[in-house]
Amino acid sequence: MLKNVYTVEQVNKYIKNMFAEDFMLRNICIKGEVSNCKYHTSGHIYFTLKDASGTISAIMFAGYRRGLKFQMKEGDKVMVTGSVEVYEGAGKYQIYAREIELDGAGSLYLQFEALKKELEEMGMFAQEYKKPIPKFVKTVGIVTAPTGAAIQDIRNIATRRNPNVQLILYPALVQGDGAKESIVRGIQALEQLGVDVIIVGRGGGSIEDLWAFNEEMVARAIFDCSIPIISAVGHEVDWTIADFVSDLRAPTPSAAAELAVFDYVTTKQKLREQMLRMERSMGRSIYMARQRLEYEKSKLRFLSPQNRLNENRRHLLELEEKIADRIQRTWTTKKHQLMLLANTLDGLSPVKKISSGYAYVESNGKSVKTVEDIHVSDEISIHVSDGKMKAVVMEVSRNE
Amino acid sequence: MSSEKTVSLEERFEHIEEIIEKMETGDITLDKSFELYKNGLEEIKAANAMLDDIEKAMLVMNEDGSLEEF
Repeated sequence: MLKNVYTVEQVNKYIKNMFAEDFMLRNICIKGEVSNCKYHTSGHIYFTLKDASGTISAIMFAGYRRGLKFQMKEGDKVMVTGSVEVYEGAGKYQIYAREIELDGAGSLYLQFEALKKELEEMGMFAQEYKKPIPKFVKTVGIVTAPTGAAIQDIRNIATRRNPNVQLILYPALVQGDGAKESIVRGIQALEQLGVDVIIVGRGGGSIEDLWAFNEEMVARAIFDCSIPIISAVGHEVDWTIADFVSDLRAPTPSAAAELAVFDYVTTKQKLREQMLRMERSMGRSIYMARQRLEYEKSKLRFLSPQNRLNENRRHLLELEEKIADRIQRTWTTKKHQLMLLANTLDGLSPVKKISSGYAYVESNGKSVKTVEDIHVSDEISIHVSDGKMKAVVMEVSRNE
Repeated sequence: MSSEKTVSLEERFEHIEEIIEKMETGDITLDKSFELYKNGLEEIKAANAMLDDIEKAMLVMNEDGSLEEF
């Protein structure tokens, strides 16, 4: 009997093909413990997955390194997603990893921390990339589930604050398989539509429920979106990667609506106030113009010929009064001087002298001052204080 | 008309503030005052119109990108 003989290559190819055609092996997730982990200089990572029963070789090519968010080491419990294929060169099968996640308690936390650190180092949380949320938006895009509390809360608050704002919902899956892709599509669709701001979020839930918002592709979609994004995931205490990368983090979906939608009543009120301020200002301007007009008018009146005339007349009157006053004063002074002189004169009065025994002699109406004025037989009058006498000169002699 | 549309409400508010500030400094002519006042009135009217622009129902986006009432 003639046996069929095959080459090694034929067999390996045959088995490789069997594996390749197996739907399950093309996309499989295997959990196990890491051993023999080697980070090759080429960027590939070689390791072995093992559990109590045995081992399977694993490789992650450099091109898939983004699927690994932590430094994998000996003994790590991991879940490896990829395809199981045959490596013909060694005649063995192995898993070609696309994504490696830590398994077990705390692994989500570690993944979160690792991605947060990575994105932070890349500058994706940097303040300088945060776009300001416009103050007065007209259209708000919302990426969240069409059912559930989040969309109702957002709708209620937004409508209460401003019934004229257009809300556009992209109904997204927010948890489970396909959630991250759905959220990313929502962001991109609303960006393309051209809304003013986008709210991305969901109501509260467990860390697993919120997990889509910790996915790198969601973070990147938020970062890459040209429209400002407000994240609103879970409750106040829940922080997701989406919150760090978004332009503004709202603690809850309700709060996001408050932040995105301006209050209609307050804004109307403000416009009214501005109207009032403008009217007051205008009123003041008119008042001031009128005041100025009054001032100019009085200035003009002051400069009028009539006013000049009145002014001159008044001046004249003033001068008259001044003159009268001056005269009065001069007169008083003179009178005073006169009185002083009169007193002095009184002291020198001959009558006074006469009263003390002296007499005053006259001849021919002239006072006699010297013997030269008198001749014998001249008639003279002798005045004393209480009368006068007539006498005839009997003798004239001169003092020796 | 289209250039009118590109002025955002925020810009209008800023413009109104500016006008009021200028008016309140008082260091302007009466003519300028009137001009600013007229300008401000127009801005406020436009802002009010923008605020009261159409009441809208919430829309939902379909897979094909079309919109319908939610």
